[in-house]
Amino acid sequence: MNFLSPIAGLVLAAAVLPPLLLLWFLKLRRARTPVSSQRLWREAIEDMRANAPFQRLRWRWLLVLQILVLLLIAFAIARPRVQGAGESGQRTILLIDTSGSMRAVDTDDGRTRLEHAKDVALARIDALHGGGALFSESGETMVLSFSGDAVVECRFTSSAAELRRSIAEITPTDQPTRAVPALRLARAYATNTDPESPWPVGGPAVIECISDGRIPDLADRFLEAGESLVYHRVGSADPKNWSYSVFAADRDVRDPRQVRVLVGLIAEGAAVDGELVLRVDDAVVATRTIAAPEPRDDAPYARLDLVLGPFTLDAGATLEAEVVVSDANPADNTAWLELPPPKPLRVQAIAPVPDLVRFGLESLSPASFDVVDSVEALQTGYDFTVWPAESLGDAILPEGRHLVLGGIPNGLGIRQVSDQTAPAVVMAIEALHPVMRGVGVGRLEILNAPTWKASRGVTELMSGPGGGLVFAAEPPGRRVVAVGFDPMQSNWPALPGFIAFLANTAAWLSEVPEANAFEPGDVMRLQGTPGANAMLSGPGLEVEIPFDFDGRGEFGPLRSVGRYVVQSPGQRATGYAVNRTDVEENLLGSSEVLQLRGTAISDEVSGSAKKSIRVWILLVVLAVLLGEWWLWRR
Amino acid sequence: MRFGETRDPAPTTMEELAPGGLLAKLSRMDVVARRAIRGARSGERRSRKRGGGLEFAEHRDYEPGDDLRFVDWNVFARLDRLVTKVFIEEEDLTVALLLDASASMDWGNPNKFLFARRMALCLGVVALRAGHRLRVHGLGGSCPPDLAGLRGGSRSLPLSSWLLDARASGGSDLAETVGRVSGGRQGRGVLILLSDCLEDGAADAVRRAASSGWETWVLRTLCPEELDPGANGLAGDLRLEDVEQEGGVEVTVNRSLLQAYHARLNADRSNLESEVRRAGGRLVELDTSLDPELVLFELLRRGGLLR
Repeated sequence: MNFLSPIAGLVLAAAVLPPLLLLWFLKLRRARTPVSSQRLWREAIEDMRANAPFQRLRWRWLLVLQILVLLLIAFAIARPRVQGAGESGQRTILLIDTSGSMRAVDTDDGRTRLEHAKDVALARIDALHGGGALFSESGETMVLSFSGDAVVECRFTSSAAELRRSIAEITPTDQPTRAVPALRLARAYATNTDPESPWPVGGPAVIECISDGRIPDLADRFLEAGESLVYHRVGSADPKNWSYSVFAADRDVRDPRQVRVLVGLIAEGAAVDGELVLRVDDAVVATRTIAAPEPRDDAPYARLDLVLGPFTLDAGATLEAEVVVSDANPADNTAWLELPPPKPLRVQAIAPVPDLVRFGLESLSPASFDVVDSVEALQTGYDFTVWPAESLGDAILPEGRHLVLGGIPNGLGIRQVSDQTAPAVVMAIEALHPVMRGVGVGRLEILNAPTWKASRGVTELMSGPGGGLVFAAEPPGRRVVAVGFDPMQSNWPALPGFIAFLANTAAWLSEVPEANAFEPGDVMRLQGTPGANAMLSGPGLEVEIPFDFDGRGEFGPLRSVGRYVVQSPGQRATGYAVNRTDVEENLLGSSEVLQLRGTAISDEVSGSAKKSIRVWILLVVLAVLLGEWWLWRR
Repeated sequence: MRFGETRDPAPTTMEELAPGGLLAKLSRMDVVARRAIRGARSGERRSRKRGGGLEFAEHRDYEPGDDLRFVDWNVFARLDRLVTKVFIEEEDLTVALLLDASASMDWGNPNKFLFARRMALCLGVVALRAGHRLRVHGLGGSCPPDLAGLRGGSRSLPLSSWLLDARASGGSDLAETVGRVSGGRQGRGVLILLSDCLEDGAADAVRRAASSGWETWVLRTLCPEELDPGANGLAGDLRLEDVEQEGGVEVTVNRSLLQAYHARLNADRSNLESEVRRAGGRLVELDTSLDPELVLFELLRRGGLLR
């Protein structure tokens, strides 16, 4: 047995019992008994009061029954539930988790969590619609599935066959777990409304969630007043699994044909050793033995980052990484990547470009490096533009990618704290950012550095004593690296780290990130021939995508990971990769409780839900009251 | 049956009032006056009045005007001094029965009022048969008019009729009534108060009677429900309502309260007894569950009221 509102019951018991005892003494109904004289009794009572300020509580059946009644009411308010079927005529909404973690196989029977969840749901259907001596009146049940979004699998019905059929048709997805849309939908259905009544009719439905409990978006949601949420847990709390956190490839800035592949792996639990296989266009190019490192700080998982390559890839390619191992979730063992063909670096700059900066950029061997005299002379077709501070003015940077030297342009969310400049040294750098990777700043000294303050969304790559010095920002349509001080007012161009900074900046500004990469649950937005249709094929999928007159088409939300191909008439096929790389979503350990804000709902034993026994308690209260009445009248 | 409710039927004949030939057993008994009392007329009882009686009392110095017939010439011959013999004049004894007829008396098992009337009849018959003058007064209630001047065993009938017709109800102002009865101009004697003495003023009543020259006996009549309420079924959460007064007292009858009640009852006994004794009277507590013969032949005889 457990309680949905234990605090409420305890508070009530604590609040009503002392007043009951008080009222018992103050307002006890007493039998009228004649005596020849009150005098001796009055004097005796006065004697007792003088000797004992408080009379001891005596054993009285009426008092005991009244305390019992109050305790039972408090018990009922705590909403106890016991193992059983359901309320007579109750409306129930079954929420079935179909997210990627439900593909996990962590039981010996080789069946996925989703299949177990469906078993639980079917058992609940049997319990709710199986009839019985006490609950012969069958209620209505609705089935919702949820992952990235909520899907109504079956509307309210009392037909067990229809419910079973809808449950059997539920298919797994690779989407993340988002229960809030499902909860919102369930709440909308849970309120029983009559169109002719301004008020809700009948009681709210009971929501039963069948899941592994890894539902992060529920943590900031409250359980509403009167709402019943039951959690049926499936899955193991300690699975052994490998999954991906990163699958990316970088072409070398100097030689774009050279490709390095970064694979970030997550080892959850005591993941067994295995092998990572990297394929390029279905041909194995590398294998690597993987073993789970020790997790840090009692984390439930450990990270393993691997860099493979470089490989020489002259053209675009499809990369596939596969962890060859027997683990809890085979569905997340493969990741795909569409690598675009090498693109020569093309840079344009607005004069004047300091010589040391020019030398640094030219050392990257760009295919073209052109300098224009003014902003108006800028051309398209370049990977990024180098802006000296003098040319900035008050203008906002145009769409595109930019490297700004000696100042911060407007519109980036960075403001100057004061007009004063002062000598500065570097206090900290954002070493994990791609622009600062391997950039040494130990001996960097700045003669005149303004003080800048960045707002949220801007990355402070390099910080001085008064504020930021170098920033990276990605406002809509732009990607900008801005150096807030004049490099020529420092010794930076003379240091090796400056070349590394320019090389990283050029690589970051010229990359085409995630253009063809999606996560499950994303909507795939495509550009094609206006008014034409394209064929999208993917894992177990083949659909036609229409493009509007602006050439825009979309498909989604994507349900499964894998490689998708869009074939437009008369054009080359384009590949797209859909991977699960969200670490939290990839973790599989099921949770014992469903954590809501302020409430933790314990899991039920799978197969049957607990039944509220409040009605029975209230019946007992009525019986006790009748007994009390009988005692009273006796 | 409620606590203290009387089960005994009201008597309608003298035999019911004094069953078992009780009156016949009293033929040799008499009311005792512990000291000489001035009566209204001559009788069989020693009187404080010295003079024409036969029983020698004392000598006193002769004073001019004394009857020479009472000069003790033998003493004069021996002592050469004139002394006069003083004789106790014999007068009749007045016995006053004061019956408390307040509502509190009509309570208990056995009923206190019935018991008190039974005792009054027995004591009255004893007094009449002994040749004493008998007065009967009702305190409170609805009693027939007071009886006064009864004398001789043949007057037992009006006495019993009076007692049979007496009804207990309402309250009684004990001190006021006793003061009025005892303060009359009729002769003094033995005043017997039959009451439960549960109201304040019992001791004051005795004091008034004693100060008027009455030898006062208080026969305090209590029933078992008053003497031991716990053993007679009083328990639980109760509102005790006085049969004489408005209002009630709310009690939870438990062991502590019963102990406190007994302590208070004992204290009340002691107070009343010391007050009565200080006023020159005597107190005898009678339990209505006692056999009347035991009361008459043992308690009252040993107490000194009867012989």
